[in-house]
Amino acid sequence: MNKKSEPLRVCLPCRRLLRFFGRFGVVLALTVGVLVLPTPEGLTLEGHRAVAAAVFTGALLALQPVSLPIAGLMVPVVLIGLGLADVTQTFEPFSRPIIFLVLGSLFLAEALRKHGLTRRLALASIVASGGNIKKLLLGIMGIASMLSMWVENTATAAVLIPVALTISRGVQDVKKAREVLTLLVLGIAYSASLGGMVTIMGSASNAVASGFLAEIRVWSFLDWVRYGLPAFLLLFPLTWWILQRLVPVTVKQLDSDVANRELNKKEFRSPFEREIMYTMIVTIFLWITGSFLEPILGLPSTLLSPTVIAVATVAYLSMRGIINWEDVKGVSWGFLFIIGAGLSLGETLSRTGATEWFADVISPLIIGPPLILSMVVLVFLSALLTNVMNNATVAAVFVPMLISLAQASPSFNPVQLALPVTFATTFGYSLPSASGRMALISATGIISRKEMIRCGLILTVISSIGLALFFYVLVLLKWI
Amino acid sequence: MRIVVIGAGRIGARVIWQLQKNPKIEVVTVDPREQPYAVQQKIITAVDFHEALTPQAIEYVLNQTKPDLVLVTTSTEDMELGKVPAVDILVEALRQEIAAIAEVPVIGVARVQCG
Repeated sequence: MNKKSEPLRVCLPCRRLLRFFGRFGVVLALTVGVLVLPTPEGLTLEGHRAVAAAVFTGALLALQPVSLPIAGLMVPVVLIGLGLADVTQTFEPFSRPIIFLVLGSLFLAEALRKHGLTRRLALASIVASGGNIKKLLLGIMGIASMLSMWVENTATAAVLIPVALTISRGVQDVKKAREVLTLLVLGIAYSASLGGMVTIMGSASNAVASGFLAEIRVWSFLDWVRYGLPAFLLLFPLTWWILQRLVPVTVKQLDSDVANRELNKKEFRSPFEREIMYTMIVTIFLWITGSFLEPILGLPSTLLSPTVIAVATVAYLSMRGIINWEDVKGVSWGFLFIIGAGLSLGETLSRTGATEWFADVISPLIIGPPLILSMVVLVFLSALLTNVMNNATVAAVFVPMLISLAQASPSFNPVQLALPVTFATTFGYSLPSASGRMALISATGIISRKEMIRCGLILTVISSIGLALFFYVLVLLKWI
Repeated sequence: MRIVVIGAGRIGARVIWQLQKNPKIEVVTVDPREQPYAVQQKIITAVDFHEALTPQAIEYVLNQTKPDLVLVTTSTEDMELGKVPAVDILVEALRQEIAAIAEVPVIGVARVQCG
């Protein structure tokens, strides 16, 4: 026996165990730390434990001693363990309609990816740009954001990043090619995140926030789009413009022939392309108009709800042989556990009175100063937190708290506080931990950490101010 | 016949081992790691090209070697990109890009397909 290998075999599991407990230990230490603190005035004992559960969730999702989906599943266990809810209460949010709507959008993303439609749309936009770098960036960002509105944005970015690699190989000079690649890849990541702002299923935080808003008022798919789309239309061109200043490129014109050749290759053309496109258009149309069409057509209630439409679309695609069970088995199901965990935690915080206590604590900061200042602070805080915390957790903690605060204060309404904070979770631009898109870019090594932080922070500050101003104007105009 | 094998991890090692049975086949290996599994197992002494699985890098290798066939054996784990979300989609998209730029047949080898 090789003596040198013996201690290694003994030590390796120990090191793994230490590594695991290292991070999990921090999560536990923070949670226990909150639990042993004296209960603050105005907070019930249950609420105190709920705050500890929120700290546990935040730390667990930020430090990730286990993968994110498993972390999501650990949240209900802790909620039950702390005596905050029973098994039915904690797991019920995991089967809400919003979960199945997101699931449907994941399956649609798979159909687009499987048949190469995402890639071909990007190539078509590059060809349309004629190789002009500004237009090319606009085109690829446009495709990334358009698709991310309706289907999972990290999956969209994962398909588009290699397209950017292919396009940038048209530049011979290595340094110049790297500049182009950095510009395109950041553009893809940022715009995929921004696109997710527009719809309920665009991101986990939207799904969580929408779940809470639906509990206090009539809140439809279209209600979200009503605010999400104008905010996107403001921030998208702003991001495109700023990005060109943050990542200046020497090359102004690229050879679009590479994209043109790729686009015309028959081997990558699926016979189902057109059908998928038309199906998507019909699905989106029904998502937007379903609630109007239902009473007009005398259809049973919720038959044309977004969730039912998403599930029916998946069934149709499956019947047509466009996707099958083998395809959809591989999608990121774990994403759903994170949404479920966010909803479960948020509900517990509300039920135990922790959100009211939080709202009381922060109300001087929100109600005292001018509204614009409060909005900038809230949006910026949410944007910074989303870089280190999962965006569903940010929404789960903040949204019920802001709803509670708004309900207690006649000068506010819940939407005007909850939406800007939720939208700001889109600005996870600065760290690999901020979002799946940034994690992917970081893993490929295309951009240095320093570059990511520099571009991300500048864009976050400007976008946060832009978003806060947008909502402030809506409030002034009494549109919200 | 010259075959470029992209990836010399566990799947690549098995592919190379099978190809080595035919002395008429010239195998060229590509892997970004210094000591991939095929080298550790002494199936090959060293990797011919230390390049990552990007269209730029692979185009360079293909121009240099002018192969008859390319076998992509790189798995998500071999890419050492970690366990970030959608990394499998990214790796598959990269494979597709390589297949698109190559003028010679490019065939992906999945784990279940090699002996």
